Amino acid sequence: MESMTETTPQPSSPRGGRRWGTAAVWVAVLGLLTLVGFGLIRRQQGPVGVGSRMPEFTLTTFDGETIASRDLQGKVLLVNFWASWCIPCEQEAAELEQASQLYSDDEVVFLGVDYVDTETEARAYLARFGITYANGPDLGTRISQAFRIRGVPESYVVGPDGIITSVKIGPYVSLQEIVDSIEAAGGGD
Amino acid sequence: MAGLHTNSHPEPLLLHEAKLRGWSGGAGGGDEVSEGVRGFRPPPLQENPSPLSGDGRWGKRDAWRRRGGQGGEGGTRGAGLLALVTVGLMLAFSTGRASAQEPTPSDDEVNAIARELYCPVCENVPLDVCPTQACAQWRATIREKLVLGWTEPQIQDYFVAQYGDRVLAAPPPRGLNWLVYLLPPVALVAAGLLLWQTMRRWRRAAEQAPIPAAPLEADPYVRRLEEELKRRG
Amino acid sequence: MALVGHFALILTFLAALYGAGAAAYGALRHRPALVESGRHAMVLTWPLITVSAACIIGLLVTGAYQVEYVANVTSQAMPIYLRVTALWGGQSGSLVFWSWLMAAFATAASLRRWDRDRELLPWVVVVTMVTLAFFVSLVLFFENPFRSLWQTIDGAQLSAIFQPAGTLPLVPSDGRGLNPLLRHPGMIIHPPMLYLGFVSFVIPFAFAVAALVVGRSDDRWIRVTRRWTLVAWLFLSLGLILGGRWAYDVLGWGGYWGWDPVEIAAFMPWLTGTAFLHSVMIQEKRGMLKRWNMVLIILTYALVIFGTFLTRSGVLSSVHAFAQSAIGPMFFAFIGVTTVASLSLLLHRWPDLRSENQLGSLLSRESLFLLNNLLFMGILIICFWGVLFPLISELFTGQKVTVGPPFYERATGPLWGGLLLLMGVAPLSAYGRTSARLLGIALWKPLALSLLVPIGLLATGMDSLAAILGYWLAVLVALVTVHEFWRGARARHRTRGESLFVALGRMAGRNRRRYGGYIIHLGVVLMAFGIIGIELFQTETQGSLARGEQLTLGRYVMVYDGVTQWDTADGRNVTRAVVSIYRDGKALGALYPRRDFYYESQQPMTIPGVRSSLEDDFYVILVNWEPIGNQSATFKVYHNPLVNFVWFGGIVFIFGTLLAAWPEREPEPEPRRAQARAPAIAGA
Repeated sequence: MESMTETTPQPSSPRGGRRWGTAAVWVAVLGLLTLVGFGLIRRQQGPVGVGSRMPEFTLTTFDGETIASRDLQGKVLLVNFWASWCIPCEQEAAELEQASQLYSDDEVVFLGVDYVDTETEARAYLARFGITYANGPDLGTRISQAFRIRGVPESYVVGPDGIITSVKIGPYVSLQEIVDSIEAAGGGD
Repeated sequence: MAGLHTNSHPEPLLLHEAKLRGWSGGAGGGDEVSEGVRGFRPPPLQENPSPLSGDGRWGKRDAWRRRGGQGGEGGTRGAGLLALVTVGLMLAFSTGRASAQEPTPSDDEVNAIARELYCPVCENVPLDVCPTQACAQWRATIREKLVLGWTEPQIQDYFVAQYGDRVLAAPPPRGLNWLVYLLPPVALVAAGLLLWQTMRRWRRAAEQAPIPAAPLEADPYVRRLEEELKRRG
Repeated sequence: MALVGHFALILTFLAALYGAGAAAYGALRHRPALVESGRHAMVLTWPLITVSAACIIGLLVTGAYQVEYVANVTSQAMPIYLRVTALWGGQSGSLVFWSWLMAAFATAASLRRWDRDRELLPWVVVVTMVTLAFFVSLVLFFENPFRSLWQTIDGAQLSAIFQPAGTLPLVPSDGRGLNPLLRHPGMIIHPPMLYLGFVSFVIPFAFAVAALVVGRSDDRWIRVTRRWTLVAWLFLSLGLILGGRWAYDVLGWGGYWGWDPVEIAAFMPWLTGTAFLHSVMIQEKRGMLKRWNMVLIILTYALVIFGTFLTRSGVLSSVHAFAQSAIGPMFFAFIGVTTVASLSLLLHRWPDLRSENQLGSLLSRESLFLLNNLLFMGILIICFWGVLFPLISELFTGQKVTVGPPFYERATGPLWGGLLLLMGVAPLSAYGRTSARLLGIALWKPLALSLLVPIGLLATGMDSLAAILGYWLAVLVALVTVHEFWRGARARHRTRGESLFVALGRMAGRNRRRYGGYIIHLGVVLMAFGIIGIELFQTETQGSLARGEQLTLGRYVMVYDGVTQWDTADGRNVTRAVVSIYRDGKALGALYPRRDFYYESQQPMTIPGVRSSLEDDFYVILVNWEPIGNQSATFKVYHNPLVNFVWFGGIVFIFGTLLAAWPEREPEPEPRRAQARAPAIAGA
């Protein structure tokens, strides 16, 4: 059995090289761990939560209008992510339109963001449910990435100060639920 | 079963849904996978022969199908129908007849382009094999664009503009993405150089000291065999 | 039964912790009795966790749907054997299975004569038990399969092990059923094979760490774990091959490997494992590369845990990935701690692992093995970077990107070619001094013969340079390897007068590692034939056919005969098309591609109809169909040349590994030395 005990001194020439090598290895290993750690944190983060500021975005609607989130400050905003291929989205489509009609004044704005969809399908979906509020495609999935959505449908209600007051994962189950969220954000009627 | 997804928080899981139709492989797919998957239902045999899910969403479009003629394509029947309708609409507006002036792009042409793209929703699934309804719609989009005369680069750019860089099979070589292409060859060359230097050092050490003969195999039979091999060459 | 299983799991956890603690303490304080106690605790973990796993299986088989796990992965319609395999059909069950394997292997590793390596024992116990404790803790605290379903008064549903106050048991009438994709025979054994491979690699790692802790710089730990490493590698290879076969049979996209991040996560330990297999031979023969072998085994362990982590944490998405769960951070912490600890240990012992590194020639077998390692590391870097880059891109630029097959194929292609070349040259080079001249003499005949291949291929008009090179190299390797067999058999035949056949058998039997290895290389050659065939020469087409219509792909003609639909007894709706195949006008029979729809899980499965021959596969997928009335259908058809060489080569590969791993008669250790060592127990 061999157990090494140091009887001869280390040769000095590789020492500098060895230090560099050790440092490089540690930097690489710790760097990789940090990266993966960040990725994990991001994954665990979940969607943008209640109490945080709504991410800024620009939406170009199907009608060609450009809406900047910055211009909507001071209003209560309901941002709804949907897709034409999303069956649960259909459950809330009619209610969302009804709710948008209830708040036909300028203080409450409904915005639909079409996630990863084709325009033909999207228009057909909107026509089918008679949706009149502004809807636009999420080009390059930038908006959905900003909100860090996990799937569709998801809805985010934002107060006049730009702070998110409620996050709904999944379809709204009733008109009342939508109304309650808006009232809670300060949408008066 | 309906109970399970109205009681627990009704996650939209549409990303999952799109991912899962046909693909949620791997160990452990069981519990996470089955939630919320819905949408694809083949026609129940006894009921009406409509090919689509029972909510009658596409009921009106049957008429188009019978008129349309050309077969559907990948994905569910509903999607095939949709492709038909889309193409039918396009052709109707251009010529008024289902048999268009330009030949409809074949499935192979669509697939050739779809193969180089990835499904924007389901991750790491190429667009030509992805069986979900959404993917069928995207293939229909490719078909539309082909009819319009777009080239493959144009179609790819369109998809990138719509859905982000994720739809491309490899990161486009710009900005940070250069790192993905440069790091492996640089690392390999660096490792190669390091190895080369080490091997040279060891070679010099060998020249300065006699090489110990390769140690004999413990097993006498093997030892004899190696001797014989050495002798007989 | 759920409570019994849960308590057994708790006991397993405690036993593992105690085992690790007692062994470590006993080793550090020179208390052999404590080490022995730790070892006993380790041996105890296996029956305990067997009880727990048996409880899960019992619950699965009897359909105890109140248990959440059972409700998630089984259903009334499932047959018994599938219910048993549902043990690894879900996240928590598969973690228990992993732990069960770990306990089994740790126990098996401890059942050996420790006389010469007494000092390693405590640390082997520590490493295996810490790993076991980690996985069991994941099960106990995060993904417990014994949680039952309870319903509160207001209808909310909870899952907990013990009944929460104010709730009643909720017993669903039926379970959700196992994911249909997991019901294929290939998929039933693919996860166990992979887990076997992963878990087996922990044993060599444990011995390596033990050697580092104790300060041994010889190759004893390698010799002791040689068979473990080979068996681990066998299972990992088998798992990968089976995964490919399953994907080909059942996923319905005409391929078997998609460079999906989770596939790669299982592939990376295989790469370092293969490099390790080769490089330990150098350490055994020449005493070189001690540090590098340590690096390799630490890397393999880290990649095993990392691979398990990637598939479970949701950090990367892939078709395999499980939903995001809370165990991600736990895995991350474990990987961080073990990697940093192993690295520190290695750096601490770095000077002690100095070896007499001498290279007789740059063409010696040692050099070629080093080159082999370089290429494997290159492929590893490509895979690792490709898997990690989407994460980096998202973190730094916010843009999600896909790193797909084009990247991997183009980057690793030349490296695989280099490995093929090495496989052809290295068997002819000797240890120590080998001049270019000697190598050339040995090589020129097979090389010349092999050149017929590219010449022939060019003559037939093949224009794919990659294919020509690939086939040429594959044939070269085959010729060299067969030549090696021939040489050895002939030598034996001449000296003993045995017939060539007997000589071949006896020679391989006597020197299993070498000739097993050559058979593995032959298996790789066959697989290379198949892989080049399907990757470079696959053709496909898609078309919609009315009844009686046909489509053409190359020499094949396919006629659509009709489609039928029915419900089966096990809860699925089958839509099956009948197509007739003709090649060059000759009828070859009918194929039955189908689409199964599983009612309970609402999931479709596409089963292709395939006509297989050694030459090619004709692969038909039913993509779409119209209702019974109109009877037209859309098919996607692939022509996959030579693909069956992949599976056939895989069988040869596995056979070669079995041969290499088969126990040879070990030389007996001299009894005198064993007695002299007995008193010296604890470490340096």
